[in-house]
Amino acid sequence: MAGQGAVEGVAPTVMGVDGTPPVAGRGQGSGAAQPAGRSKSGGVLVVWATRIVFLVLVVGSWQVLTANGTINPAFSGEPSQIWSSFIQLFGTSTLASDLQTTMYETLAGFAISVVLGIVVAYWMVRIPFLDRTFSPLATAANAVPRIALMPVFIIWFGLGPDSKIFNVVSFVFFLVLINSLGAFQQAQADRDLLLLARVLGFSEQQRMRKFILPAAVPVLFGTMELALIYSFTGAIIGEMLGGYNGLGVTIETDANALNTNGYFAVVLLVVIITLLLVQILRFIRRRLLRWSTLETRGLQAM
Amino acid sequence: MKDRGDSRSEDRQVLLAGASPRAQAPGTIEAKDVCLDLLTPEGMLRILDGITLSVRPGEYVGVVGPSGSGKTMFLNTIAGLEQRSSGLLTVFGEEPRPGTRTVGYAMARDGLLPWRTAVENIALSLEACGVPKAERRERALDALDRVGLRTFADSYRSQLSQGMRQRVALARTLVANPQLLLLDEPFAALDAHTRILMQERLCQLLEPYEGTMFLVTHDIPEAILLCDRVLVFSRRPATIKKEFEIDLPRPRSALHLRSTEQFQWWQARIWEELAEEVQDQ
Repeated sequence: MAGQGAVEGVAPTVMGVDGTPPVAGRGQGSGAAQPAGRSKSGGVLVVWATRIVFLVLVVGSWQVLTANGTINPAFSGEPSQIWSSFIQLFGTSTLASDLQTTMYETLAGFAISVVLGIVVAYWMVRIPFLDRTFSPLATAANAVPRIALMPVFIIWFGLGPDSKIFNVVSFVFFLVLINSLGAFQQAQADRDLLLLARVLGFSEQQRMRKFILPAAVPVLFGTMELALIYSFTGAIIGEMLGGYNGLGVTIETDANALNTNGYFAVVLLVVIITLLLVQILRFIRRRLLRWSTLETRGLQAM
Repeated sequence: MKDRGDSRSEDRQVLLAGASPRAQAPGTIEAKDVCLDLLTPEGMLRILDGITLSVRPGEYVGVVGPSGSGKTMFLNTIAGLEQRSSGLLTVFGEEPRPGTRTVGYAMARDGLLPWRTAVENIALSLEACGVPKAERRERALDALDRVGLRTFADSYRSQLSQGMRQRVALARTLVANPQLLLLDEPFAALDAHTRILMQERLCQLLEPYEGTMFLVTHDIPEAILLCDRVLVFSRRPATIKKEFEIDLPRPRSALHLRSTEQFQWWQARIWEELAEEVQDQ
């Protein structure tokens, strides 16, 4: 729905940019008369066209400005060079082990944080005493600037992956905990469902499992998406502050050597991997949560 | 009174197939001087002020009253969801408590779980009491059949209209074979036309039903149509202002009854009592 609305808003502008003549002439009347299906598929095309035009504009002007010397490519990199560095990256012998290290830290940290965060939130919701006691502490702990503590983590856990995993968990655990707490508490605020659970005679544990947990799952998926992105960031920052290998170490090395193009190439790689992982997560979400998709789309989806 | 005839257990099978017929007689509600005080921001508020009532086994009793008069609170007290402040109250001879299999409770909002399909929502009623999974589905499908929604068994809540949701909710209430039905404005969320159709349908469903029903509603015709006895609650603090024995013959049909003189006479008499309570609001 939101996507479609955006499409309709964007359409006239894009057509103007592309110089496609008929749309402006047609006016609103005949546009509204179009069958819904056609205007929708047209909408997807327009969205993609707009996206590509936008990216071409941004990257193109970056390229032009660095090529003609307006911006010093030593500081900003140059898109064409970044691209060739990106291609070269796959020829380097260290990429595989760097990637492996970073992915291990990211996914291990992510898994620990998500499992721990959701389990702790679950028990805090089930036992109000825990919630009352520890909620403020969790908020306080989340306010600690963890990046500043990374040197301490390195002292504790060494330069290997362990300190990075710890760094990731220190970031992401609280994120998951606080979001999950919110999701569970929101589910618990639905008085009709709680009444139903009481009337049907469900135990406290059954109520959590059958009413509260499923209601929270869509929010948990959203949280996991955020958590994934932050896990990646946490691992790379950890590596940049000190480590044996990993993408963060490569980024740091390139930055120190003023190899700006190589630096951006690794950043590009990180973005692509993150997007891939997020897409996997969304795919799982769509598979598991058909009901949620139906709820948000409403009857139109049928 | 309804003619309950000889075919008691057979009738139960018709309504709630798959349920094991019980040997014990259907129970009653006995209330004596029931009072309920609730703590509100303005202090203690008396909601119920000495309700005395006896519901016979198999009787259908309806309560009408002004908004906020405590009708729902009384229903919830019977369901064991609210603790009365004083007075005696027994349901099937026992202290009321929520979650008993003998009591079915339906509320104005459907309360369907959006992550469950229609048939899974109905099966929910049977999960708390340990019915095996295959039997749960079997019985749920059957209950769905009774409300005419078999083909929507695997639809999610968002794919059902408001009227269908309410029917699924009704099936969820009936599937556990309750001996006492507590209905809290079951059709209040529906539009006027759908409501009339639902009343007709419930009327048919209740015709062979052996148990007792206690209905809270705003809708006077609904109370007359479905009930053997209609109580008018006063405005808060609620007392029973008037009782009417509705001696209309059964089986009743909403479409037929509404146009009869008798029906309109009952409607006028009940409204007369109710209007006095509503007017000063």
